[in-house]
Amino acid sequence: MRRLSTLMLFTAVCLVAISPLSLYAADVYEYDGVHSSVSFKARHLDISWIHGRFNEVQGKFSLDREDPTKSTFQLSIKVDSVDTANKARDEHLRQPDYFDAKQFPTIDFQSTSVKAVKGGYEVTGNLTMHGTTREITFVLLGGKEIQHRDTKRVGFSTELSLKRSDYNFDKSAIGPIGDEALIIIDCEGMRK
Amino acid sequence: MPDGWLFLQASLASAAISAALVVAGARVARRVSFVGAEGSALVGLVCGLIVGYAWLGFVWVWPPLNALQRLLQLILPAALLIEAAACWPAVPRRLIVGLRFALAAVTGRVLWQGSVYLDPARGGWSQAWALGTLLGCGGLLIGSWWALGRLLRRPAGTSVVAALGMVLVGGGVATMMAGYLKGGTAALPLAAAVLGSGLALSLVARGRSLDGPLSCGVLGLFGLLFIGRFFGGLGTPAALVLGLAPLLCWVSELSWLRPALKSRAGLIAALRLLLVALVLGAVLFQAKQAFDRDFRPLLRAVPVPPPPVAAALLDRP
Repeated sequence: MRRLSTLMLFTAVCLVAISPLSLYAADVYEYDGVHSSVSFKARHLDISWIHGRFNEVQGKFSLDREDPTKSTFQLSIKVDSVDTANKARDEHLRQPDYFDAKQFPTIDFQSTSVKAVKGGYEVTGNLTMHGTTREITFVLLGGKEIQHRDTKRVGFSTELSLKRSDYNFDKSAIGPIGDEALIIIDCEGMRK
Repeated sequence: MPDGWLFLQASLASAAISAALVVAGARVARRVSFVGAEGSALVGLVCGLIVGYAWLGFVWVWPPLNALQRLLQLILPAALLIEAAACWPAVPRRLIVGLRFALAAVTGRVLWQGSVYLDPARGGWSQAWALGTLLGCGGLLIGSWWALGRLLRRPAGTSVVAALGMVLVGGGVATMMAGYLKGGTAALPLAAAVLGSGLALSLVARGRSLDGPLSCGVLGLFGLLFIGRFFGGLGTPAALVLGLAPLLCWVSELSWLRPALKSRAGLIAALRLLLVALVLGAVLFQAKQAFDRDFRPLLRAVPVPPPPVAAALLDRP
């Protein structure tokens, strides 16, 4: 009898432990490159903008809706995939005067802290570009999850401004192309 | 955009400082020390390089982040230290040869440090391919260094340093036109310092070893072409031709040609420099064509109006 009641107690504890409420941990999403984009624009001669994008991006983010501070965001951009719709310019951008793709093949971001704000999340993390790591903070708008066929999807967007001179880019190459670049990220994450 | 006037100023400053220090050092060396002339060439080289790169606004970062910084802050200083040791008669010659060999062997590997070429996981080459390339490049460097060193001790040895300086300038321009502006610019103070110190040394202290300027020039040329090829847009054929161009100086040593030259240093030097200049001209012509095709549309220069006579001709019915 005593053994039975111990067994029933143990079973009850297990059931509570695996109940849906307690099971709610962070949802992990893979970056969907087909429905996402990382683009940028920079001033040319201070009179117009040159636009470009990176075509090969990988990433992952986990969203803990119960405790957003436990959410994480990670992105890795392949520098070689830079695309400004001009082959010669793209090749020039890959060279050491600019991105130096053979020495620094990726631009990486790893979040260190996240907090919920109205409309999304404020994310702080380390951005490593051109061999230099700096802390940046930006607001990710979005986070609503929908079910599409058998996949759950969530979308975010953000805009941030970076200075090339902060990341050890060659200062003599900053002139015709402005120092500041605006980065626009629209991304979707998916999970089964 | 490249500033030709700034490049000229930096090169002239570099050459002038190098030459002046060599001349001053040689005068002191006559009274003070046997090794002073070679030592002053090294001092001239170092000061010429520092002045030249400072004039161009090069920024020194530690630790070096990219291949060009590793070349300028690690490889060239190591070469200069070895040549400084070579100035002392007490240092065994075999040790100096061994150190030069070791430096030549590791140069490629050092320049590739942290790059994709050494990391297959980041889209780089396989280990076998990377090792094969490093061995091949190292072999070419060692072979060139040895061959040019031998030629240095024959009549018109100074022309070898002059040819090296010419190829450095040509290689720098070719690298710039291939899209790597800073890498090409780095060749100019190096060429100027090598030429300034080498030519000054041969004028004021005849018979003294030009190994210092030669080593700096050979390693600098290899390093810049290696960086231009693997990090910039310099093609493999252009890099190989430029790297091997100084070896054309050996043409003057052909058995059927030597009697005609009759050991006249001026004639030998002229032949060597002419051969190197012809090859340089061909490489730069091809580089200019590629630049006009690929990069000139990006610059989109404002059309220069034709001169009045041409405009009048054009306006004729």
